[in-house]
Amino acid sequence: MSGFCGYEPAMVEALRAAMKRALDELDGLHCSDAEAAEAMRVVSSAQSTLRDTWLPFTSALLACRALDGYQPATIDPGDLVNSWLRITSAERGWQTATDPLGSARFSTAVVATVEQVRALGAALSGAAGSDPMTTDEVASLAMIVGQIGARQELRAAFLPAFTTVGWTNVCNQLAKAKRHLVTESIIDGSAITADERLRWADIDAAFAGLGAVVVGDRIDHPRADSTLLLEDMSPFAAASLAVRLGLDAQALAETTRRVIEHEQAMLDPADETVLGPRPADLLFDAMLATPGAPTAYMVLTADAPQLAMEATTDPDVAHRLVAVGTDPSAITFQQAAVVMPALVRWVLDAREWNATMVYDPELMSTLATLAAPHLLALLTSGADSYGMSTRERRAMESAVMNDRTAFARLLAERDRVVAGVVEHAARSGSSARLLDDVAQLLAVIDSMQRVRTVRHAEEMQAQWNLMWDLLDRAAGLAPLAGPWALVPGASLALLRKVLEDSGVAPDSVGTMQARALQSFDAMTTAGAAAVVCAMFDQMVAGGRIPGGAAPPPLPDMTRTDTGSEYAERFGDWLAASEFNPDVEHELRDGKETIASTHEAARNENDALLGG
Amino acid sequence: MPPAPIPPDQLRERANILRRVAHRLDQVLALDLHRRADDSAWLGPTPSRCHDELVAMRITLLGAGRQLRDKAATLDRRADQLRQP
Repeated sequence: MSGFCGYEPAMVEALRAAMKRALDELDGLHCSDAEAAEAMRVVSSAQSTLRDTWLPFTSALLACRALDGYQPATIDPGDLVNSWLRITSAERGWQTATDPLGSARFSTAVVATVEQVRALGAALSGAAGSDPMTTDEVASLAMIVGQIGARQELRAAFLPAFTTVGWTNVCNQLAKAKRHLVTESIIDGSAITADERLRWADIDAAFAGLGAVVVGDRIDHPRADSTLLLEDMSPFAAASLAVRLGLDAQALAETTRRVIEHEQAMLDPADETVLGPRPADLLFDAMLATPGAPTAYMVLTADAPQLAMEATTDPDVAHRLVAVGTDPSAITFQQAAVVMPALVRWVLDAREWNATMVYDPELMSTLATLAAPHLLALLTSGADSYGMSTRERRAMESAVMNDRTAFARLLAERDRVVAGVVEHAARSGSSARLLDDVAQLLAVIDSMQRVRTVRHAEEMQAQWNLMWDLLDRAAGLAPLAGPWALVPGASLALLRKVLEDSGVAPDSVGTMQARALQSFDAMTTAGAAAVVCAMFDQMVAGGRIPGGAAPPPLPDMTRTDTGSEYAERFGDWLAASEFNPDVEHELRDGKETIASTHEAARNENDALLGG
Repeated sequence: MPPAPIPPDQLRERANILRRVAHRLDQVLALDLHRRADDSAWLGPTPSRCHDELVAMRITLLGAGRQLRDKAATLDRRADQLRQP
């Protein structure tokens, strides 16, 4: 049996009789004229079609006694492909017989009718929606719902017949089937191939069609809330449909939170065997493609950052969403003041207390990336900060500083660091504020780098000392023979001194501290000189300084006293240039802003780091 | 020797025959069979194929009728040309 055929015997009998009359009529149609030869071939073909194919078929169908005395063929309520026939037969009181010549699969050329989709909606609301669908049924569903989504009259017939329970059942089983198929593909750790992807292409197409039906309905009924349908669905089913509903940024963010909370509430060990995609994998991709959605989601989950950080299969996707959502170009200061501290606290907590629950070796690097454009507001304590406590700021800075990769990431994110400072200053609309922020930021980075340098020196020194202690002890305990014998203690001490004097040993901590401070002085001076040069150029362009005036001095970076030497030459230059008092005052202020703010901020940050 | 031209009257007679056949083709019962084979009578893959074939048959029969009328018109034109001095 490969399909069903439902019929009304009297009407089929009438058809058969009409065919016979038509055939007799065509048999009587002759014309021997050569010009009619082609038309006669058409007639002959029609005769053949009736005589050889359809008259025998209808005769056989009507002559078939198979139904007499036997249980008539019935179509299973769960049979999606034949749902239309089942309902039509039931409504009209037809008999149903098997059709050995037909195929059970819908033809892709079928154009859905209003009656057909109404029957489909009713069938999907019953067993056809809840029983597992065959591959053919999924393909048929995808084809039909695609048409329904595109045609208003079909939606109007389909939706009233398709109950909420039906939506839930259909989406749940499609989602479950897809997760299992994906799991099968990735369970051996291999990447998904194009052929494997084809296995769930019909499921994706069915979801796309169902989504189009809902989107179309929203056009017909703008006030309808399409997300209500998602409430009873499994999280992955809800996500699969939600991403195809064309939701705006806020609605998508709110839906995502609901779905992910639902997922977290129902995670159970049985689900762990399914490696396939998680709801957030779909939803986060959709949010990344919807301007404004990542920020809306970050604001919405500020009270529960795990809904952003722990929801995806691939942490990179989550990190990308969080980075986009918290970028200063997308988030307001007020929003960031709520979101960023919450994120930082969550990451620090995950690292210190929750490490077994949140396995993410990139967590600190991620923190560095996220914090980069917010560094000042996170690490400072002024009015324009995010108001984190001293303990929290210290913990955050130490966490990034102690993780070599994270610190490197922070430095590598310099574009975003700068963008964050510009954004911060732009809010105040003051160029003085920008200088101040730049100076503060330089100081923060500088302090962190110095502490890292000194700490590195301490480690190297400890390693050096450990080596000599070991050699010293080994010489006493197990002297070797021949040329490899270790020298006795006094000679060993002498060797150590010789090596250290000739520069083989690591630099002492004191030396490194001095060098780091010297580097700080040079950085401050370079920053101040850059500001003075920029102000000078601006004043020349604005006519406040004559074109032929001598340019400001440049710092000598090769000296150990770069700062004081530059200050002296800057003073001399100002005196020799004889600018008007306002210009002189502004130039001096510009230089001092960098130098003094940098120093003050460095002191504050040093205190924060315990330096 | 080339064949003798067909007399104009004979051409017109042939054209009339073709038109009569075309007229009959326009009215054959086979043109309406598809209406009886639609989903008010039966449903299923084979009934669907039957309905489609009957629709196709209707189209080709109507086309054959049109073709016969075109040929008849051609014969009429040839007859007119032969009558002209």
